[in-house]
Amino acid sequence: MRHSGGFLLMVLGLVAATPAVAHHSITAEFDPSKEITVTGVLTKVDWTNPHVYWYVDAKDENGQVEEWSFEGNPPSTLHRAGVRKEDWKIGETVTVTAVAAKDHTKHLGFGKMIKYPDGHVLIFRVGGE
Amino acid sequence: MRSYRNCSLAAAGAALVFLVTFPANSQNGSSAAKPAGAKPACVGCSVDGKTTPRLPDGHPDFSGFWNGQVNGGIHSLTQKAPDGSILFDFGAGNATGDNQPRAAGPRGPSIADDNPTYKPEYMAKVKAIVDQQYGDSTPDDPQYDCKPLGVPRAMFRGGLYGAFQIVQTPQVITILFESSQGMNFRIIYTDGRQHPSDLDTSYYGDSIGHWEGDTLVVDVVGLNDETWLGGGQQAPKYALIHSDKEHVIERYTRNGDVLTYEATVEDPVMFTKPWVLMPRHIVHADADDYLLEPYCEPHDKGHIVKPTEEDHYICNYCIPDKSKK
Repeated sequence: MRHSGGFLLMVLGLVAATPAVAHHSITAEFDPSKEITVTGVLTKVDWTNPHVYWYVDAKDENGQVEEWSFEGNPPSTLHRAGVRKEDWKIGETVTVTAVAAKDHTKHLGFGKMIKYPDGHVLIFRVGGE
Repeated sequence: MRSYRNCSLAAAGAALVFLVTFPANSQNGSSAAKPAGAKPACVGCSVDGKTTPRLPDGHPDFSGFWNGQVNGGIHSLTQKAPDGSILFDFGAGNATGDNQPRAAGPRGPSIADDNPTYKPEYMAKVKAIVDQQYGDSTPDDPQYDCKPLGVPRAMFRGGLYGAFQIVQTPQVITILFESSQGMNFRIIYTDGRQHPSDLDTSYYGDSIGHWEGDTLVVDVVGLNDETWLGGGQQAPKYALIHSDKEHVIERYTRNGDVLTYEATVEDPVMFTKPWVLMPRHIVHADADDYLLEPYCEPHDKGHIVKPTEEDHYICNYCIPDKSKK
């Protein structure tokens, strides 16, 4: 995954202990080898179980607006880890980096990073990376 | 006592550097200094971590929010930078959410191996389901329809999920689920009533409870067959389908801030013998944690793939190495 600007320097002194009971595996639906990038307006965040979803209106090559859906982590896990729905900032023009759905559904991915106009990012890493 | 909200980080100069923060410091964090051993006011908690709260009638009080992170907080999953950037790393920290309190010494048998004994024709069906699971996921799992998890599955913690709130009175004990979807409450009647004679089956069935000393013994019947017994994030793996003749006898005990759940599941249609579950322990949540809303949307069901020779589960986020072909 490319981080433009090179300004992210992450000190990862974390103990990487994967959960003892398997989290619902991302790879059952999404292909980590197929990265997609979408830029558009963040229109909505569904703070629902089992995974949060957010939606981006992006223009295709013909200038037509298409809605992209991105799956995220469970809202309870995000909440307890200190991540809030308001961190998504609805209305902003964002660039989402995601990994594509395995069943070839268009306009669907698991969101890995959201980049905002001011340069800050939300990054989501999954157990197993 | 750690505070899970205390996840933000000190700035580290001009560079946008994510710094690690861990709960090790948070005991001296935002809360005012407390005498050693004292815990902040916590609704439902034991006053000292050892004394079991009791109702005025003398019975143990199971009231409280049960979401114990036995090995440390999941707030260690997040790092924040001064510019507002957030790194959420699900694989980080010690957030195993394991159901068993940590004990010294070698671990015994695991809940993952604690499977029921199905009759051969039903074991074949269970095995057929498991064989086409990708990891722990199959669209046949009723949880992906956002259906209630039923009994006993709704009582299981799976990874970081499965928290519930108990509200107890002398006549009824209600369990409010965070991670069981659809209808997400159970009522256990402790007012001496019997099961209704005209019971329709339902997701959580009908539960009546009585006390044997400090143990609440609950009898559950009238469970419909639309739930699974376990599976997915709720081990064990081969505890899936059941009939509507399922009968569960549960035993709840509380010691200090640990709730212990035991159950025997009978299914005269599908089992060769009753399934006696390993005890599952759950620790009371931190004082500043609370039940979150369980609203569910079934986004995943239509997109879960089946394993193939080329693509089968390796880990939560692995890319199969096709160069080995």
